[in-house]
Amino acid sequence: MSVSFSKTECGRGIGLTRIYDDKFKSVCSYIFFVTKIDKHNIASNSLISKLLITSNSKIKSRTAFNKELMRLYGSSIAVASTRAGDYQMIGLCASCLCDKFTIGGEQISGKVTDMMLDCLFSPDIDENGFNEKYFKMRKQDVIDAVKASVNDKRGYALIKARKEIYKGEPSENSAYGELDEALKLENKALVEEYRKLLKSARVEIIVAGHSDAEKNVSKILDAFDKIPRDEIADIDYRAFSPLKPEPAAFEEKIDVNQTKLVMAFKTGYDDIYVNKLMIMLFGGAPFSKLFMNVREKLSLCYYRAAGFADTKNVMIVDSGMERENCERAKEEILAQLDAIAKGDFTDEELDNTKLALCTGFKSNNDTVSDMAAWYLTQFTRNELCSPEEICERLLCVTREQIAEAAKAMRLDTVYVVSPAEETEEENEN
Amino acid sequence: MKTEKTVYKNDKIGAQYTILHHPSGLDIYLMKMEGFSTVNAAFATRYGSVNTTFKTGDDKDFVTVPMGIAHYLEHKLFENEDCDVFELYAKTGANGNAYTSFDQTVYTFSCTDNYLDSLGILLDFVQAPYFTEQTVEKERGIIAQEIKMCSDSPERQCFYNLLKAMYVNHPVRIDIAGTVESIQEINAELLYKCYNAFYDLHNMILVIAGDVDEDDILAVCDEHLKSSKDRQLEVSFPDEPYEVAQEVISESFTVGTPLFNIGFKCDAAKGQELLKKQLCANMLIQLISNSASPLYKKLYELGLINNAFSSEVFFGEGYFSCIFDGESNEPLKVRDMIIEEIERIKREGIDSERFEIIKKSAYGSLVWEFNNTEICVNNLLGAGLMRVDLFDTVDHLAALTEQDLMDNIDELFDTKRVAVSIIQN
Repeated sequence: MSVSFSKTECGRGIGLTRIYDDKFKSVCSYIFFVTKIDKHNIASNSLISKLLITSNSKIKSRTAFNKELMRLYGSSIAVASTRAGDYQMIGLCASCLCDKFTIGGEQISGKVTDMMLDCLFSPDIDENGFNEKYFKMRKQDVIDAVKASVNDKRGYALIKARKEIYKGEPSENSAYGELDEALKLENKALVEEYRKLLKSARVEIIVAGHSDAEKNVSKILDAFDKIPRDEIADIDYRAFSPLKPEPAAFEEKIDVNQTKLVMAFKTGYDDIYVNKLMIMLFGGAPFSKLFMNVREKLSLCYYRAAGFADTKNVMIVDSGMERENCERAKEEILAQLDAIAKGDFTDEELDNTKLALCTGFKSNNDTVSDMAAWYLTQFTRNELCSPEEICERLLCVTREQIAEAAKAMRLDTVYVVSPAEETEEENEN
Repeated sequence: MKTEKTVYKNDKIGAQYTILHHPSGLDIYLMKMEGFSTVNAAFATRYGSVNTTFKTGDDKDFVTVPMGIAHYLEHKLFENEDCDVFELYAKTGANGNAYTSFDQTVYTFSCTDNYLDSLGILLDFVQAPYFTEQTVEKERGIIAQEIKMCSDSPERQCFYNLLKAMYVNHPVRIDIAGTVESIQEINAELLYKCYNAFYDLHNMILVIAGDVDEDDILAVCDEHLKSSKDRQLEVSFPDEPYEVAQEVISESFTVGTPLFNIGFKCDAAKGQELLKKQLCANMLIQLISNSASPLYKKLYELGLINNAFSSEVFFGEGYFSCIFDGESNEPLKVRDMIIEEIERIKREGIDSERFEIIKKSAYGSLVWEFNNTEICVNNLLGAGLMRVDLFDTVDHLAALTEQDLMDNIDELFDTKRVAVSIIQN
């Protein structure tokens, strides 16, 4: 058994990807609509997708809808949402057991696909818009989700930091959206936006899991054949974030126990996998420079992570520590990046990093959702490579390339979220 | 002594696993999953944050150690005498990790290559503790930062407060990592004492899932496992009253919408009894409040809950409870409506159609879990530490009747043993 992958352009801005492996006991279909992020459509797309999975014109009650999915062996029709740079991919995902694993061999996969297609193409809409009761309830869900973004303090620091890192770019908008935009959502206008998505957004269909999934492909394509499609915008996922003339620093004091430090670096070095490898060596692996020095040697932080937004060419390092250790942590992070730029790492460290990154890449073959996510990411990089093909490429990366990638990183933004009480105490002192 | 082998199989689900009873005292659980690139492994001991009072055959009396010591020990085992364990894993490409829960400590790795080398590393470092006062001291700052990081999570705080409200004496009411103050009392001597008591291969299991070879694994185990004598470990827990400690506990935190946890305290159980109890509790919790239930519809339509509403069955050594959690501006009203629905089911009985649907859905979830090596390891680990067969759940589910649920509902959802934890601005 091994993964079989194919990508077809079906015309009218619709891409179809098949990813099959018979080791899986389930099948899954994703339908994504790709839109450029703006302040408004984060909230509106979120509400549209939530409404689409609440009911449809055939099953108008949410309770009956959920009951039907449970009857189909706990199948799921859920919102599928991800971001790639300045674009948002939002839509639905239907997943269920392979028919052969049901009791008595019930045929469920076609039924679940039909349900999803009813949600997407025949939603519960009348002349006033989406079902008004569900519109109000789901709108409240969107509002509550925006409000709840303050609950996770590490996530909150990252949201606020990204606003500054990407100032003026679509990526400055958080995945939760803004409260005022959520409050403004209006039912009839939302229906128009839903119709616009169907008509003009780039569509990515991914059918994945056991090869039984193939029988759902024609159902999905037939459904798209029946709708008008035009004015589909071209998409280029890669839009590098411009470097600020001088690094910008911000500090916000809130009700938090531990200080959160976010540092963003921008680069003109344009090789995704060299950058990824360098960042793994720097702060992505449990044997990285940051882990070994900032955590193990200096005992400054419990968490410290470095990640790469490849569509924006931005590295973000985030960590948590005592406020009084913040400057020291910042200095050490910069010093470790400088060390890599100067070639201060061993061949063994580089080889180990390659191995760790390859382990991560190859493990994507082992869950249906990870396989789908892997290839979706490949599309945003204008590539169609398997994890194994990327690993081959990684093995050829040299020490010089790593040093060059580190050298090209420029500090752009520093965002600190620290405890409000500390300031008062300091002032008293 | 030779390794003894037992094979467990379920044809309908299309899965099987093997238990190897190794002469060292360790039980090794293997699930071969053809075609998967990833191998997941877990080496676990029945030792968690609640095990603060214990004695071995060498001790005269029970000893009580500071809170958070199991978690501290987990951190320290990653440091060998001459190197850090992550440096060893780095050479094999494995992703090593560990976690401590209320009743277990688990050391894991996942990898796509060199799994036998990684297994050797795992077995070696967990069996070779090395602590000095200096190395123990060095870790204190990192753990304090971990505790502070966790204290920034209102969801976590809401859950821990619920445990404090439900349990009067049981140590499950204390945070797994302890407190910044309690970890100051931990030293190398105490760590060795706990290690020697709980890291006995008779008290541990090893679980591996992936496209692996049984003979190769056995050869690595033969080479790396050090035979250990059964230390005759005994753990002790204080008596836990029937009632909850307090009905409502509240704390202030910056949150979007107030958070709540509502817990029904139940009697603890072990082995097969625990497995059946857990299954009944899960089924009842679904009947009461899943997204197709009348109660969920009512709560949602009244705006008393939102999308964040969920439920879980929480259990371990000496504790068992059914918990509902979510966001609401009126958590006490949510509690009252849950209680009303439970009383209604007790009076009117179970909706047969929904019972059958939930059974079908539960079966689907069970099969689904065999799609993933990590979930298989976690499920085998749960079953192994509970000393039951993983496939027993499938059989119990098939045999479960509405009457079984009605026979258990009074104890599982005793409306006089309810606590509510609220986090609000």
